[in-house]
Amino acid sequence: MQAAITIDIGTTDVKLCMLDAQANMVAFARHGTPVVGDRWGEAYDLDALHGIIIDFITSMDAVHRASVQRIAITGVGESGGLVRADLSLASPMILWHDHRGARYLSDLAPADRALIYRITGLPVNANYGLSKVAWAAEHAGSAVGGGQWLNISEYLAASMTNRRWSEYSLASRTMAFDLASHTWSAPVCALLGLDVSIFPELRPATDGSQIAENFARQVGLSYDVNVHVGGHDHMVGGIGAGLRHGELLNSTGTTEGLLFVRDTPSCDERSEKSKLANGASCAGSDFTLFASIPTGGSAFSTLQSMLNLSAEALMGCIADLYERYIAGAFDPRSAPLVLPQFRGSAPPAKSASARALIAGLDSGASAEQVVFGCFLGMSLQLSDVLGLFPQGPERVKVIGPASRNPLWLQLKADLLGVPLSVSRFPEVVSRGAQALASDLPCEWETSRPRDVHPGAARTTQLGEWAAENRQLWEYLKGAPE
Amino acid sequence: MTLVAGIDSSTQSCKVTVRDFETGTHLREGKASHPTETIVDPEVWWRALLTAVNRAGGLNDVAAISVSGQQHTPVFLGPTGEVLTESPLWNDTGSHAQMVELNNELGRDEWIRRTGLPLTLSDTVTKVRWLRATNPEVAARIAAVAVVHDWLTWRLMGFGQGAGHLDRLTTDRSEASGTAYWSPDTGEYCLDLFEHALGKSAVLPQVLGPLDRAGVTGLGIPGIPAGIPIGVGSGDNAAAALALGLSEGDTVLSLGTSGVVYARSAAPVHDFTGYVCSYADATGDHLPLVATLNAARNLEVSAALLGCTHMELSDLALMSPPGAEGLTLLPYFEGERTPDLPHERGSLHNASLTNFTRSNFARAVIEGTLASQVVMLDALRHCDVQPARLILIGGGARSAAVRQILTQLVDIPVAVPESDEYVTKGAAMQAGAALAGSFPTWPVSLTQLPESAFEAQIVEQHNTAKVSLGYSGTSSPTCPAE
Repeated sequence: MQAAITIDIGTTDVKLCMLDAQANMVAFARHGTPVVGDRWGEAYDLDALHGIIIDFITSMDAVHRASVQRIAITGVGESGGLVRADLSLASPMILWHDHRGARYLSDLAPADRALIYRITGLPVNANYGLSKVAWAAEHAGSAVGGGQWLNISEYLAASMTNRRWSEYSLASRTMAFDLASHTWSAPVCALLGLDVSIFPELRPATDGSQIAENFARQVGLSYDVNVHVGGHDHMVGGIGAGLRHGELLNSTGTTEGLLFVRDTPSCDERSEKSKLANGASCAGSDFTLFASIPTGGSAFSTLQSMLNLSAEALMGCIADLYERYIAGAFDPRSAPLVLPQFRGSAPPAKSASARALIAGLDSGASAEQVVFGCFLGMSLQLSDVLGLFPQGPERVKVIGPASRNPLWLQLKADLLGVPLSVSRFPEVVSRGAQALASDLPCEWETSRPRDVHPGAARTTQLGEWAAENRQLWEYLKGAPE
Repeated sequence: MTLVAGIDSSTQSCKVTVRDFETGTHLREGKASHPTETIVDPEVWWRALLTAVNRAGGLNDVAAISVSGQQHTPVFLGPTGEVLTESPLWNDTGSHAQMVELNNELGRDEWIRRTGLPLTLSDTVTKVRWLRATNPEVAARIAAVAVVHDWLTWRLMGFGQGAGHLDRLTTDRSEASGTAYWSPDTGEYCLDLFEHALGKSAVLPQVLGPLDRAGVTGLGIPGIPAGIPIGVGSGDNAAAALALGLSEGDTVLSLGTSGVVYARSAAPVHDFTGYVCSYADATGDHLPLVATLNAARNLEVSAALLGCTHMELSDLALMSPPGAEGLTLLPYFEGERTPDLPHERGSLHNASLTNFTRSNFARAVIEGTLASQVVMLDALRHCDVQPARLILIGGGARSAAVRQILTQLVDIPVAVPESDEYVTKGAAMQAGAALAGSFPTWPVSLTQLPESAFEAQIVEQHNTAKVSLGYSGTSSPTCPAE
């Protein structure tokens, strides 16, 4: 591998790593993702973001800094803004879950939506970049000045290289990318009155640009460092996990992602109805089929603040519940039924305005029952979404914060009835970004995975629990918003 | 100083207070807990009464005594006065199927027409049918059915296990009106309804008038002198209403184990929409009433969930705006009887990353609890009972947040009486009547709460949540008997 600084722009945190040539982590920092509100929604605080990156690089010791050969930037898809050739902004750098452009999609006819799915492999949704591009172009007006749409990762790369380009996996999250031709789609852009020239040139993640001298000088890096856009974080996680065809990546960040790698897109009617999202892989040669569950690891902090527990206390509660659960000393039926839609609903409904419901609270309800119910509900939600895919997993690889949550892992394994292979390495996405920037494959074994096996009795028990609660669960999912 | 004692054998405990007959001043008290189960051996109520009397310093200096108790809950007696089996409490939801059965057999409206009651799973007649269904051998041996206060009064007279004298069982109008085999129009038992439920006849307690004596105390009861008058007694709500000195237009919201809304009325009501139970009061008038299973306990459950005290729960709730930013709780933690959802449980709605906070949760609990209660005021209005003032009582009334939020939910003045045990006070007034032939005139001090702007969205959110779970197709509550 090439020694690399990796930058992962997440929903909640920005994670910065220095990985040496053996992919060992020699420096790490985590900061809350800096955002600012405007009158339409939320945007990145770019000054703060640049400050975080510059502080990280300049605070590294000189030996490590001198060893850096790559900067690989990855992060959330769907975010972005219009950036002029001189790298000035023609719009705010909009967050991925900001729906300011929703009205540009509201008039699309069913036939238009079907066309968009056939071409881009994405169900029409205001999360994706296209409606934000339309909003930004209209608001910039004549001041757009040749601005092109860059994802936040692409913008950071541009600011380090003075070059604008788009990486394939991120491009495929704009809803303007033609999966078949691997180019920007003029017909789809035209549906929103846009021209494809508003999007930049396309490159695979393996194809970087040399660092700009002024930036290299500012942070003390060598002039021959190459800057790469690694791509969409969940997909880069797939690279880091050495994901093979038939394997499922269960990527647990603030949201929870389910990702398969495929030879071809799956743009049939079933996938469209299921609102599965196709994408181009970071390497640009194959495809991904992806579903995102809005509430993933964020449930941890939700529970923490609601129950007034420190992170340590909540982890203690989870560990205790896990021990009792596997010992058969905790009855899942005692927990309330939690539909954990704290950030909107999962596919196929995929409604940003859907909200969480907790049913079955009796007068003996306790905090630990709510905690158990929440992770059980998240596992049932995962099981439902997995059932939308055209294939079942031959193997499940788990990365992200769930790796440290024994209860969540065990409930998933038991409910799905399949073993999980769980990374012990905390930053698989960063390792994937490094591999892409090095143009080398990543082996899953380097993440020192451990197996979480389902228990036959527990699988039966949870199967019965799910069957008993299925009617209410489906009712809650369909409850009016 | 002449002293009188009032006893409240409630769902959770037995309380005894001793008062000055002339002024009603509370002098001393004793309390003993009841089991938390919903099917219990009646003997625990007698033992708790004796313990409470002992903890009140005994009643040897008392001139008269009277008992109030949880309504509806039956005691099943054999021919010699023996307790035949454990008693299902009014809040035991196991009798739901029998409620449905009885409604199907005679028609829901027939029960309302004959007894003034939209039949619920709490009514004595439903419990009688439940025993017949679940334990027919015991049901066949029933010689008498009394409710808790009737049976305790009878025990105070010295009767009990093996002593017979079922003919000395007494009750009052308020208790008879909760059996669903008594007519508020004629003041007589509907024996055919009782026999329909049990499949045979049995002795029922004699219904006494408001100022009557049930008898005198028997010999050899620890802490209780023999030969002192025993008042007629009543159901708990009737006793509280008596002590509060309710006038026409006064409506009480009691936030205890159950939530109860009732008002004094000169005439019985027959609410064919199925909300209002036409009970009798302790003065000779009527006490139309609507009840929910879940009330003050909601606050306990929620404080435990949040790991905070009741006071902190109240403080948290008051930090949140009306509507709790959309977070909404349907507080059916124990199932519910109004609306009729015995097998459902509590549910929290519309939680998001931004509104799922401790303060919003605390507020949602209190708003949900109160919205469940105040919607019943409309039901009273529908029966031409016009609430002009709301009097808030019960354990939940101690919460500052409950007081403030309630004023945002109603458009009539809300008053809170000074702290007292109003059920035992009403029972003590009945003891006074047994002594003097008329009720003593004891003062009641009420404080009116500051008025607040009406916040319509609280009830709107509550109704929307009910619709979302299919509990109600409209914004109106559903009939408990349907």
